[in-house]
Amino acid sequence: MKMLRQNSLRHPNMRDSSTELAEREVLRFVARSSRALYDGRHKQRTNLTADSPMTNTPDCWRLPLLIPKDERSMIVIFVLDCRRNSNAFSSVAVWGNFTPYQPKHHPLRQLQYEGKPTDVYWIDLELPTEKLFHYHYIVDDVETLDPINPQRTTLWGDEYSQFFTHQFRRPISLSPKQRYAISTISHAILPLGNQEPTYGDYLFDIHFIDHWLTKQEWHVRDSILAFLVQFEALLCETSTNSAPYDHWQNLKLISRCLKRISHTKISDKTCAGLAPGECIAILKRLAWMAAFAAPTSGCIQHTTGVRFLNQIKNETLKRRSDG
Amino acid sequence: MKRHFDADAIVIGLGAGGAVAAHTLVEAGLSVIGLDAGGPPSPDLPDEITSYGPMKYSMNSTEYFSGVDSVDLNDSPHVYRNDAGKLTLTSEGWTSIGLGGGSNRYGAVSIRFHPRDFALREYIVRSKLKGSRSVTAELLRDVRDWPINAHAMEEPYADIENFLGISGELPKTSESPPSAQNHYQKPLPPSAEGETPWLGMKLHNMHEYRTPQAFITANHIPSQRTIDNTVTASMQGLLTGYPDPSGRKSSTFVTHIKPLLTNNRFDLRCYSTAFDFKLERGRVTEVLYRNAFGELRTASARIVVLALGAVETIRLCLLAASNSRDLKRRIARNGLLGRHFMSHVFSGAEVIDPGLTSNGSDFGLESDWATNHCQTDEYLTQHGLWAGGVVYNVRNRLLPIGFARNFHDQGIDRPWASFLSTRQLIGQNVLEWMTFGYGRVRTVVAIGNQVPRSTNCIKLASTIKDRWGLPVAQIKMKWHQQDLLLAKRLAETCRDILESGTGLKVQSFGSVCDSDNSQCRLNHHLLGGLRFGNCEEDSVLNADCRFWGLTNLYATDGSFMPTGGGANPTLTIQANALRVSRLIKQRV
Repeated sequence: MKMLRQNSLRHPNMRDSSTELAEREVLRFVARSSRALYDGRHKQRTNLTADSPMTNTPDCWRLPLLIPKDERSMIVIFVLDCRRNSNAFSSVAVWGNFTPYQPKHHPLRQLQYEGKPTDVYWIDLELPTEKLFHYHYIVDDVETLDPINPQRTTLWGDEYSQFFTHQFRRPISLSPKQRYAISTISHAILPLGNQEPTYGDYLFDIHFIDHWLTKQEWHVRDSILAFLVQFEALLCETSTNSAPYDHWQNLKLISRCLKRISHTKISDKTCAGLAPGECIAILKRLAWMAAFAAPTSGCIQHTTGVRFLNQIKNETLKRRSDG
Repeated sequence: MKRHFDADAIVIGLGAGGAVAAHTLVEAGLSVIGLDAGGPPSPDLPDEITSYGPMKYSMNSTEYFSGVDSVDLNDSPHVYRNDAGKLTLTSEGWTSIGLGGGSNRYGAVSIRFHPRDFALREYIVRSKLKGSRSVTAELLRDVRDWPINAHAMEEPYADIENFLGISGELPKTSESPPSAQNHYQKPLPPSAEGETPWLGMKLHNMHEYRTPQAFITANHIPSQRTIDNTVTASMQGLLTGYPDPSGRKSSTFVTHIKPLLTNNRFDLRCYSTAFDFKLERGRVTEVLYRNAFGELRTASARIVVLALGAVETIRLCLLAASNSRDLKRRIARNGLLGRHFMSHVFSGAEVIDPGLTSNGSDFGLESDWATNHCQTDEYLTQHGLWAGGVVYNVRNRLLPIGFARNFHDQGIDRPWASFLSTRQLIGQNVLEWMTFGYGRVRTVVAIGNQVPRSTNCIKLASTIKDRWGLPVAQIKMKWHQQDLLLAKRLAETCRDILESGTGLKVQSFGSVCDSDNSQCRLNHHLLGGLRFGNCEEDSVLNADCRFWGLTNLYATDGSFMPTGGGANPTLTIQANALRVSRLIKQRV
């Protein structure tokens, strides 16, 4: 029997075409948000205000979608879901500073599903890593911010959506004590820390924590810094002569510090209204996340664990071919 | 006029049971439509949960995070009554949504059921259990022998093992024929964690053997996989909880779905949720589903195979039966639809062993050594048990990865919740456990038969609806006193193995029956509810796993089991799916 395939997923998981892979990711997004369209989930988000960018978002998707391609470039997928709009659009494009000095329009195409065009528009662009980009959509000549991406920035008086690709760094100045504190804590908590010594160079590398900090949602970044100030103060108070990276010594120390912090009232002034428990949660989350974050993946969850392993694999191969 | 069908068969749910059925039917020359609520697992990219972080949302002012199981509690939750009698949302009863199902993330332990597990009723009659007569009477009321015996399962077992790629050993005292040994691949060297459990089993003369696991250690011709020698130990270590980072795990996505993706006879429809079927003269002619855009679609075929995982398969049947009096009369007439649902008695013991150090292959497989000691007649007689279970050591070095992936999701009810709460791994305790426990814990676990009580069932929840406004599945489960007894004895055996092997006092041992809200701890082993049998009045499916009242509707997930076996069920589900799809092939 000859069969007509309904689905656009002809070769899922086969990376013979990056466009196909991208289309699959778009459909994945669509499938999840379709469900939300039906259950009115967005109305249940009592803690969000009507104008919050997340109010109409079914899940905390991070759009645009980022898929690493190789060390220098990524596939960035822009998706604009217009199913809730009553009007049909004649043109949908994304405008952004993707090409240096020549920001330009990239028309989005309609997602084809079951052989028909839909109201979901998308485009995949190959963009370099280590960069910060800003963009907006142009729907029938009207500039529109990305309704889902919460990251915004104001440039020359206008608001743009923004995102960054892997390896992008925005320097955060940490004092040596802060760096020491944070590396010690991650060292103490990392699941792989005491297992395979060959990982050591990565896991103890402070840049890797740096990366994580820069990749974290912008709004908690300041809170982390504020917390580190507190942490550093306590560390200075408690620490006497522990050698750097003395794992067990430091762990005890950290435990003590954390205990004290949880009982210490941290002033609103330094901690931006964050409760002590939340600070600890952030710090622990940071340490947990660090376990998954590889230097080259910029600690975005998307590929961390596997990319880390791929990197180790490549280096093992390289070492073998060298030696 | 001859009716036109879209395909020869529709398989709903492409997990361990469905993928095997779809593959076998396509290979036999049939055209197959595969419907799955999820998409491909992306072995070289983490799945949708890890891709975008835990998804956070709120419901009734409470925030939830979707967990490791790719189940969004707002989409299709399951519910159960907790200890306080309150209906509670849970992700229990789901293994995983997506191609390959739970086999993408399971620990891959692939032990055959013990021959006695197919005929437990016969054993109860023969052995004259200790204890009150009422217990025996109750067991005899609920327990049924399988309509097929171990001998009939031998060929499908051997064939599926051969096709999947299994490494390990068969039990040394096994009644299984030696043919199976030939296609078992040599296991990886055992890990450091396995040393003392091995010693403990040895000292107790338990005939330990290397745990069979769906993981290849050498090039494997049937599934056309070659071993990449550059794969590091740590990549293998991600076996549990990740789809297939090393390319060696024999998940059904890798072995059964991937080869179909380029086959013209297979029409894959991802993100499609089936919710009803249409009936015509005793046969299911159309399946109704919603596609990725939420639009209503239908598909028609000569044969329909249900393999959504026991809970969802039963729910689909109940939903369809609630819309059609004819269907209800055909599949639910004897009142057994959804009844005799079960999981497993899951016990274990653990001890922190300061002497445990790395032996260079720390990040390996789920388990090293297993024993069928608790399946022997002597063991059952000695402890007055109706059935036994398998015991093996597990390695928990990957637990933190599980934690990390679920970190901050205290709001969700799922298997990890039990682990975290019983150890109170919250706040400071996490740090302390990571410091003093992690990497130094030796663990032995046991999986035993649970009594398939008629009162343990899946039904439709009256008040809670899924994303499409349809009632969700409610899980009703209560442990039988034989379950509690078996759980206790198995836990004690695990403890004895550890104590003998390590020389340490084991304080921490127990079972899933002791955990919080234990009536809904299913360990992803979803079994029964549509038991198969030779008598139409006493079973839902016939011996071919076809619904008695319908000529073309089959079930090939774990729901067919009248008793759940004393081992991890995936291999048996796969073997049965192979057996059933061969029968379907013969019919068509």
